[in-house]
Amino acid sequence: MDMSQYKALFLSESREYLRSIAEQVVALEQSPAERGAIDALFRGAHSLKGMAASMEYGDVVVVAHSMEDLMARVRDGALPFGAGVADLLLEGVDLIDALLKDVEEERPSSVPTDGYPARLAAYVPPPEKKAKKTDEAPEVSSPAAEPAPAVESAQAAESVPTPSAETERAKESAPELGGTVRVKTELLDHLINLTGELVTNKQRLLSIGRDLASPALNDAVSETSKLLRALHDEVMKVRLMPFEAISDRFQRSVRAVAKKSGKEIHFELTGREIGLDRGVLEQLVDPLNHILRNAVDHGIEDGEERERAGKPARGLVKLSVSRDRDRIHITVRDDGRGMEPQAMIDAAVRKGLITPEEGELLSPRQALMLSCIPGFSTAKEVTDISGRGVGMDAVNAAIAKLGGTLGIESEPGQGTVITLKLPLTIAIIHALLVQCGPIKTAIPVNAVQRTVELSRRQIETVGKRQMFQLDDESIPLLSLNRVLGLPLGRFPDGILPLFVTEAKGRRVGMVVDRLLGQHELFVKRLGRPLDGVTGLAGGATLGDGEIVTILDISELL
Amino acid sequence: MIAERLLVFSVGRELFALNLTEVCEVMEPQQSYPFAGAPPYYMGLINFHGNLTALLDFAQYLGAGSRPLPGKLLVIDTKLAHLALKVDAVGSIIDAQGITGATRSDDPLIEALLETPQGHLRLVRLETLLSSLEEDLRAAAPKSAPGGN
Amino acid sequence: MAIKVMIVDDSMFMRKMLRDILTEEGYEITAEASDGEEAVAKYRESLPDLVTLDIVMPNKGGIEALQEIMAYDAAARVVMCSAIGQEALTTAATEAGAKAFILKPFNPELVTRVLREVVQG
Repeated sequence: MDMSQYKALFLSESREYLRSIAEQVVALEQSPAERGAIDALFRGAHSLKGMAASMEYGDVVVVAHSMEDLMARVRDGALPFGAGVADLLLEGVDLIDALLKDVEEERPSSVPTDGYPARLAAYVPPPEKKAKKTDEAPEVSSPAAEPAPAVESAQAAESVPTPSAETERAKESAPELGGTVRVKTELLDHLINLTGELVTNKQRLLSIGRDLASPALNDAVSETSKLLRALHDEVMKVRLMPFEAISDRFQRSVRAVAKKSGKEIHFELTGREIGLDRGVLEQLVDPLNHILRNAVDHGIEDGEERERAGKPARGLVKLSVSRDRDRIHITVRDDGRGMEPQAMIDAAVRKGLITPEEGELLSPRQALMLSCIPGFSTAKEVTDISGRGVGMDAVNAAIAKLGGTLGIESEPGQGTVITLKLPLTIAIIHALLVQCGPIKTAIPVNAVQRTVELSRRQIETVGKRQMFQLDDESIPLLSLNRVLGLPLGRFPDGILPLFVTEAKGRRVGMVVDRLLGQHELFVKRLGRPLDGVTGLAGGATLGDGEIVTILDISELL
Repeated sequence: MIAERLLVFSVGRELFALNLTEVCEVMEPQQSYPFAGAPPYYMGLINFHGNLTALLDFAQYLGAGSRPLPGKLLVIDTKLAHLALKVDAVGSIIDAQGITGATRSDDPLIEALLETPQGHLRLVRLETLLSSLEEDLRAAAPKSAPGGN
Repeated sequence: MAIKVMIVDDSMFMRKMLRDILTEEGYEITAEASDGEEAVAKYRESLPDLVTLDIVMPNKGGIEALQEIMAYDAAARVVMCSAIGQEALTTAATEAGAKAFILKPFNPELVTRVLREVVQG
């Protein structure tokens, strides 16, 4: 039997099993007696083994088989589910994941699996007393150790439903017969591309219709345009995937950081069912991991410090996802030490990132955003004081690239909330079109706070800088032409068109030659060699066929 | 390894070749739209079946100066890149069997110098072209303006 | 007329493989189910001539589903699918009325031979 035809299905289904196993493991650590999860874990390993055996992937079979055996011991009551078992199972998940990558890329397996089965077979839990010290203490949320207040546990039960394999399976049951099909991502992308082309072509038809002044044609085009909108919406929905497609990694990374830093963390997740665009989801993994790690590592105080502050020893980190019309809100909330705006300003001044005068002008909100300036967060002493910051510049840049915004709120002593607001889909954005010298280019509106037409008289020169007043704030002026290496504008009528954007936590006025208005753009990747060029977020075709690039302003500044 | 079939094109007085499988279409010149932040040998972006494709003036890239001819556009396979090369003219497709000799070239961009009935051909190494274009773009990336601005 | 088969397995991969093997042999797959509960319900709906039933499944395992199917239709012809390591369960399945076993990973020749024997009684 030719098994190669089953490879893609094998890979995708195996990965679903792995994801489900990892989720079950973390869920079981929170409530180790959950019978359903224990059974589901056993079944997951068992099914993986069976599939891999059919494909004759011996290494996967061996690893899955040992995991199955270990879970059989847990199921039969011979072994309690503890941190040791969880570690071994997660190690197995990683092993199989690596093996699957080798299979996918058709190379011989690059990870040694020998030793793993023997360690599982020989595993005995550490004696009770010792376990308390070495294993359980740093574990994520061990409910027995610290009885949580009733409210909190009720919340936990609601927000961290045991992600049982039952629901997983139920969702994908009866694939072809029940009306669900799996579609390759490339096919989807192609479909979206074609839809985007149709939208662009509609614009052309509209302008031809206007030239011909034909009411009949106009009617037909406007009807087509409605249908296209509907088609686009439907196609975009196909790309939506539930947040849970990536959420197991967060549970795992919180667990890992908590363990490493010896803190007790209760991790809550809500909104796992909220759908996001695949592309957005993929790009969210690293930034969210970063934020969560920061929350555990720097935000949450150690147990003693917390108790001194009258807080429960166990810290709370809460990740919630919700949808607000066509935007997704993701918040990471912790009940740690919070951030002190003045400490942030002092640190930034010490690092030479801002002058003391600039520091005085910053609002508390702006001060917190200093953590997103490149160079702010690398210094260790800064992160210790601020309770935040490692890699926040990269996080901020990644979120901006997705067309989203990042906001920080913090109450010293009470904790920090980081809110990401993201578009539901990335393919269509609203952008401000501007003219700079010979080129037209677009800036996503999420990066534009407002547009201003400034008279030369309103410009003040402070030292070498040109500034203007907006909402009682002094805002520096920059020329987008200059940033892009283009000839500078002349402005014979003495009016400078500009848009206000935020860079390094403070507002900047970007002067352009002309503001051409807001447009709905279908964003396309540029491909090699332009992909990844600093400051270029993609391109788009305008209604008349003209092509513009879309700028990533935060990257340019 | 030399591919089975090569597409021959000319820039200036030189003959070049690309592996035929790396080229997906030869087009007449079409309108391109300039964009910022790239070296001058980029003529702009063109729309190739919905793909936004960077148009490279190959003569200028090679340092031969821009050519007055309208020329032809070689569109690179869209799976490999979104790139089109403006060249002077496109010649024939030749079979690898017609190659009578091959020598190595010192230029990393050129995979080999081929002897064929059509004359000497420089076989372009596409991957090297793409990665050096990417490197140049990184070097040309706008630096943040110094403090005063 | 083609023999109607219902395939029950929680893995889509396994279902697809089995479906391909059986279709090749001229069987008609009239139903598929991914857990025990669904299997019982779909059995009543589609009354297949033959069922292949996985043992380890969520929402009611294979043995329990087998018992319910047999209680509903004593003439049901059910073939259990099991992986190595589940031998202990085969006795329970035979007692509950399973006609035969096929072992995973599936060997197409073996699968078709076992099914043919079951169909021919």
